Formats: sequence, C-alpha cells, structure tokens
Amino acid sequence: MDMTSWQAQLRKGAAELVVLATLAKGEAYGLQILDRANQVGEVVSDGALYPLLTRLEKAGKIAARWDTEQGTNPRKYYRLTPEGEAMLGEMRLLWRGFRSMMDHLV
Amino acid sequence: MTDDSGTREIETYVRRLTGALQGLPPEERSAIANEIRSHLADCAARGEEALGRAIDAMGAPDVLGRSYVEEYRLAGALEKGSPLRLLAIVLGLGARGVAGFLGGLVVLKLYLIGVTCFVIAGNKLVEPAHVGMWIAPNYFALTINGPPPPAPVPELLGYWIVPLSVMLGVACLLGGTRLLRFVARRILKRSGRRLAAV
Repeated sequence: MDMTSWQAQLRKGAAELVVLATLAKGEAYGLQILDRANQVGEVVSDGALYPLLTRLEKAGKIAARWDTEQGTNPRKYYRLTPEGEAMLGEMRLLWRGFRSMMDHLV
Repeated sequence: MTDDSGTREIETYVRRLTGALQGLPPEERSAIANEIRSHLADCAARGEEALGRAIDAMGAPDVLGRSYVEEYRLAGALEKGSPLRLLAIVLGLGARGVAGFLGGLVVLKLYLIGVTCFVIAGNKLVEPAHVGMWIAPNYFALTINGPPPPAPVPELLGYWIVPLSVMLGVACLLGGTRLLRFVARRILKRSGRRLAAV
C-alpha cells in the first residue's frame, strides 16, 4: 500500500474542518490561515486552500472582505459566519467521536 | 532571486491561471487572480525559497484554474436547477471519471425512456390502433407507432397505456434528475478532495 497516498486521503477529509477551526480563532487572510493550519505539520496546501475558501464562502459558511490599505499588499480576510460556526460545532462533535473510536480500535 | 524576478514569476503564474479561468465571469476571474497574486506576494516577502515552495504547492496554474471552473459550472447548474445544462456539464466532466461518465449515461437513458413514454401516451390518443402491448404465447410486441400484429394476438392495456406511460415517464424524469444531482454533488466533492490532496 502506498503510504503517501493514504496520508493524502486522511488530509483530504480534514481540510474543511481545519480551515473552519482556524477561522474560529479570528479573522485571517490566506497565508495566515495556512500558517495556523500547518503549524504542527502540513494539513492544507496552498493549492487546496483557495478553492476551499471560495466554496465555503459561496456556501455562506465564511464571509470575506478585501483590505486594500495603501502601501500594503491587498489581502482578502475571511471570518466565520453563524452558519459556519454551527457547522464547525457539528464537525467537531463528529471528529471527536471518530477520534475516540479510532483510539479505542488502533 | 531579485524582487523583479519574484514579481515576474508571480505575474507569469497569475497570467497562466487567468488564462485557465476563461470559463468564469470577469469579476470572478479577477477576484481569484488578485487573491492568488496577493498570496504569492506575501510568500515572496518571506524570501525566494518561500515563494518557490508556494508556487509548487499551488500546483500547475492550468490545473488550479480548471478546478475553479469545474466547481463554478457545476455549482451554478446545481443551484439554478436546469437538468439539461447540468447533464451536459456532468457528461463533459465525466470523461475524467468513470463513475461520473456512467452516471451521466444512466441519466441520459432515463430521460430518453421518459420522453419515449410521453410519446407513447400521446400517440395512443392520436392513433390508438397503432400503439399498445400485444402478448401471446411466443409473441410479444410493445408498439409505439407501428402496424398492429395479426388479429388473434390480444392487446393487453388498451387506453390504460396512457396513464401508465405518463406515470412511468414522470418517474423516469424525476428519478433521472435526482440521480443527476447526486452525481453532480459527488463530482463536486471529489473535485474538492482531489485538490485537498495536492
């Protein structure tokens, strides 16, 4: 079995939860989200992050605003919406249940 | 790498990405390009190595662009609820996945059966003698618009074929649409997961 592919499969399922949990700590732009998400190991890649943010924004789970203050790099800041917070709550519960089941089994 | 060469590298990436986003409305295209440019500029500020890593992690610009376009088209068709448009997109994207392709073909088949059922119902009202189901030992014929079989073979359904065909037609169209939306959602999910694995 190809372990790299298996690891990639694990990361796939976690990316959405990780991004929402990251934004629960406060508003952030793309690179900040990546830094927070990957501080203990790479979970989300640059190429995966932006389409995921677009999808979550269109689904109303997060909201965005552009900060175009003069003299700085323009950045798009994201924050959780109430709908996103509710989704994160449900995902956390499911994740904890899954993790405890796996801890018991493995 | 100088600042200039970093900027050139960023602009080359963004230009190729913008080219791959041609299927999107201009404002979406420009918003995506601006955000990726901003991300790469933030990485470039951390040094040449960080920019190189970010560009590698973004993946090829045409692959990234295609995933945005696929998602946009599928999500738009799912939202607007136009089954024929959705079917065309699913069949078009299906070439990249067996499940999507087969799902699209099954939906197409269900739609064709549904339309045929409505044709049967309509024809029965216009030319009743030429539409029906004839069954006898060693003989079976379901005729939509053809000559009736030899006299001794009885026709089973009579005018019941009209409501039965309409019901079957509606079931095929509704079932096909449900399956189509299911297949489209699966393609969307898979496209998101494929990117997450990059």
